[in-house]
Amino acid sequence: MAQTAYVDSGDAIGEFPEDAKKRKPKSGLIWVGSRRSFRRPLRTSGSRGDSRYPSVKKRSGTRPESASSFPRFVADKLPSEHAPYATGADLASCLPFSIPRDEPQWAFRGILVSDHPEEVRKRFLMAMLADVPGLLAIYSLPDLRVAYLNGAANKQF
Amino acid sequence: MARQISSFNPGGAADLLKSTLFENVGLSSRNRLEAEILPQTSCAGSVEWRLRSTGCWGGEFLVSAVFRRLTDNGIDFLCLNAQEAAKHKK
Repeated sequence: MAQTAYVDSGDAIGEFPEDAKKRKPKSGLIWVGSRRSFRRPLRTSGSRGDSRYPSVKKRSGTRPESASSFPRFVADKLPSEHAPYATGADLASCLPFSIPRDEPQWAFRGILVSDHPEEVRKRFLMAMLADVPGLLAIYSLPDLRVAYLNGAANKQF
Repeated sequence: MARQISSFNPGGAADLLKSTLFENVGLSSRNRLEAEILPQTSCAGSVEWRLRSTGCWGGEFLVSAVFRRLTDNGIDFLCLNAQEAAKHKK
């Protein structure tokens, strides 16, 4: 069964658009337009017992209270049957760095569908990391070799 | 607003995936990286520093960097998110 990740980093709180749900895209990443009203908590009522997913409260200008309890990669929080939806803000709270709130260009949203959960995890993570402003580098330990670099490292100026 | 890093690897000329963190940090910051930043990151999980980064052509520039230690599937990583710092007054 295909897994789907719906993502948006908009600040507005609203209902997830029905048209996006019905779109049923083929496998791959599809960027949704400029609508900024997506909103869905990571943890649904049916997954209360799953401690891997944070309880996300409605935003009032602050990050979810549970953000600090998720130091791991956002990939760990990616969709499962318990949490098929997540806003960008929810996921960003799991990222290994702070969201630059004064960076309006930084926004990620999209729909990702795949029959392979691992592909969902990896492609979703890569799509998110690629949009991070500035340089994002991930080094393996203990040798400190580059494991990932985002596009900022290669920009032409 | 934070500025984007502008001179790390212009045109993607270098294969940075073969480099290490120490090759991406300026000479003047390497000691501090080894003596302070990495140990603190290991202990605290996350630290924020200003340091000199070096591009693949050798030019150094001041960045505001956040280091975080991560674990994914039992493997440890060090994550660096850096943005070029605003010009300092002399």
